[in-house]
Amino acid sequence: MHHHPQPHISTPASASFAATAAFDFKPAKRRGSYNCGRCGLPKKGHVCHLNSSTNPTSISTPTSSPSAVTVENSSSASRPPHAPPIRQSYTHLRRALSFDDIETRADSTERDLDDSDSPYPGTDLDPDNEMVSGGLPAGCLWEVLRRLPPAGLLAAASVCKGWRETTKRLWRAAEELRLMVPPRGQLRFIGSVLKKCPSLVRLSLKMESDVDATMLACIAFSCPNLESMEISTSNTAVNRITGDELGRFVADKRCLTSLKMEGCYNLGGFVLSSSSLSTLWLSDLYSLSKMVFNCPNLKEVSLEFSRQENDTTDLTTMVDAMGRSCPRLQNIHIASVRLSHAVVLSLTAANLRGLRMLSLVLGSEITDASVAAIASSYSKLELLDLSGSSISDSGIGMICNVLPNTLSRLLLALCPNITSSGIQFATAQLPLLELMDCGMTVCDPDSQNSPCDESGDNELPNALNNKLHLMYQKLIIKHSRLKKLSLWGCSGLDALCLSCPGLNDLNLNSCKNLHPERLLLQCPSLQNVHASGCQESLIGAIKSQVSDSMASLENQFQCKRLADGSKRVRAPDCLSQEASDDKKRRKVAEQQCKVLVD
Amino acid sequence: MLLSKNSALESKDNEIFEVEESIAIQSELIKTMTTMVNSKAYVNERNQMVPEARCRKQANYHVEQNNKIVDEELSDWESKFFEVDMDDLHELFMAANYLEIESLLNGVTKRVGDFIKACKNVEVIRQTFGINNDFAAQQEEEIRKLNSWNHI
Repeated sequence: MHHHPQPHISTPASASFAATAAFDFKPAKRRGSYNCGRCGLPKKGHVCHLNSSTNPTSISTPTSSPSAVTVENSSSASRPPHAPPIRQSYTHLRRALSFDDIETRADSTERDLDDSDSPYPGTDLDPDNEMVSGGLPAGCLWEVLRRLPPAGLLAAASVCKGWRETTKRLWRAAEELRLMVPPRGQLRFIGSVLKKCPSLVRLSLKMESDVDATMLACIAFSCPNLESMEISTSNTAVNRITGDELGRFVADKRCLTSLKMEGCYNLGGFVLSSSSLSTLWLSDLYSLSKMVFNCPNLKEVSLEFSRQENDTTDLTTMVDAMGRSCPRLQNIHIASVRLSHAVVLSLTAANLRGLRMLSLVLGSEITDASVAAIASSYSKLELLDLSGSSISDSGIGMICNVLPNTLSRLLLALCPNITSSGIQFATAQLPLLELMDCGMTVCDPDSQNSPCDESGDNELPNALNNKLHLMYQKLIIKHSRLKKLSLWGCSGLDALCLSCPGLNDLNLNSCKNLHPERLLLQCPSLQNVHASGCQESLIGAIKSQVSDSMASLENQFQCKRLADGSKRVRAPDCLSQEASDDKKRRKVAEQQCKVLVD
Repeated sequence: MLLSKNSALESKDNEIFEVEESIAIQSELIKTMTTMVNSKAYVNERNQMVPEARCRKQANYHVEQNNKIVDEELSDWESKFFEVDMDDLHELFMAANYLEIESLLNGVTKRVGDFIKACKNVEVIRQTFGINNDFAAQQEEEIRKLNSWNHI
């Protein structure tokens, strides 16, 4: 554990990292595709030594400034302790949308074989009795080889005829394939691999070399039954696919249900026509001219626009078109700095009856009026994410008015006009709330940008009076269902009292001014507390409070030693409770709460 | 352990192992045989003779493994358990395959897979597993060309 001497938030593009960190906060699932599938590290600057022909110069930490990294290191409890890069915005934005608790797929193998039939489909080789070289019956060899990554499998194919036969069968049975494409020789590689698995249903490619339409054509040709395709790009890879090419691909693939693509700088616009498509994720979009979503069965859409200046996309028209042609949408996620009230209005005009998750982030022009519109049209939302917007406490009031019966996740990170009373109101009024993200809300944004570590110094010369109301705020939250709470970056927070029996994860990263003596944590189920960037005394206070709540459960039987050396043990109030208390104590002892710094 | 039933398993080389029934049932093969045999109403549910076609000393290994599952240091124990040489591994493999014990099979196959992954090239794989190269020279050349971009 080491203290970062550098400032916490010093990147000029504060919006970029900020929003990334905002969605960093999400239940414990990771989309393995944006991290290396093997080791879970973010793929930026990372070269996995397996399945790559490049020199294994493994740079596992990103090159971005560690300061930004500290802040981003927010509450994702399951994240391995490495700093996520700035470019991770995509992953984070995704998370807000994920509805189910999909298990992590940080597999060590890059290929999964999904066989609904018996494990060995050989017709001419009797799996048990036919001995293949190496003394292994073919069935056993099958079991071994199917756990190998593609590289290993290709090597195994060169060993002897028997092994080659088995590997061929494996390829033919493969339904899901996840490949990392090295920088050199990409098309041949993909082509030859894909040729081996004609029954492929799900394909996920991590490109380290450029990708263009020839790749799409190759995929289209080799995988007639493809249902799900995912292309992610490392930072060095350029995605040259254009909108027309993508449209053609989507139109031709009649069973494609899920399409996810990163690095879509060069799309320029698209016409997507597909009656099968139900999930669409595109990121790094830029200046789209024409967007036609001719996908009546589209249920989930996620469009992340790049943060470059001069983005000429007309979001209002786009949302309008989307609303009209995709009436079955349930989850919408749009990330763009140009989101505005007009966009929200066209969204609400679309009257999407099935809308359950709505996430419009980075739009500083989204105001309380937008919230009013959303609240009046979509009263069944389960997730609402308006991080980066300008809504205020009255917006929260509207949300709580309309959505208390359904809303379980509310994310309002980086909303500068929200105060602690708004947050408190939300937690009081939303009984089903399980996740609340208020990162960087209760704080003074100017002081954060100072290059100095101590927040006090820079405030004095400024007009302190109009910033005072942003400091010394206190938060009291009592909620029975809340599971995750993120208050990262809330440097204006001075006192915090949490009484949430279900709380598992608490993020207090960079709560620099939280006073250790004004902290009260009454959350017995707490598993992780993130406290990097906090004062040492605060970390100490957190630790003692957390272990106190553990200890209090353990000291159920008070005993007193008397003068004659005997010990009186006070019997518990109800003896029959003993068994369950025992179990509880053991469970508590096992699930020690972790205080994570860095 | 009055409540648990013991099964007596006889291996081909006429060794008899007494195993707790709950452990024996982990083997799919024994499980199916048990269900078949039970229908014949054994009063004393103790003895089940399972003829085994191959020598099954390794049933012992399996028993140990299952005993350990009760403790929660399974993963540590497992990695040590499988750090055996190829011959032992081979026996374990045959046992797991014949008896159809899934957890054992998973462990063994993963270990063998690790062996393969650890091999630098095809020749080493052949050596490790004692496999003869039965490709014709021409075929080998083909394969080499196809895989030229692939380095393990």
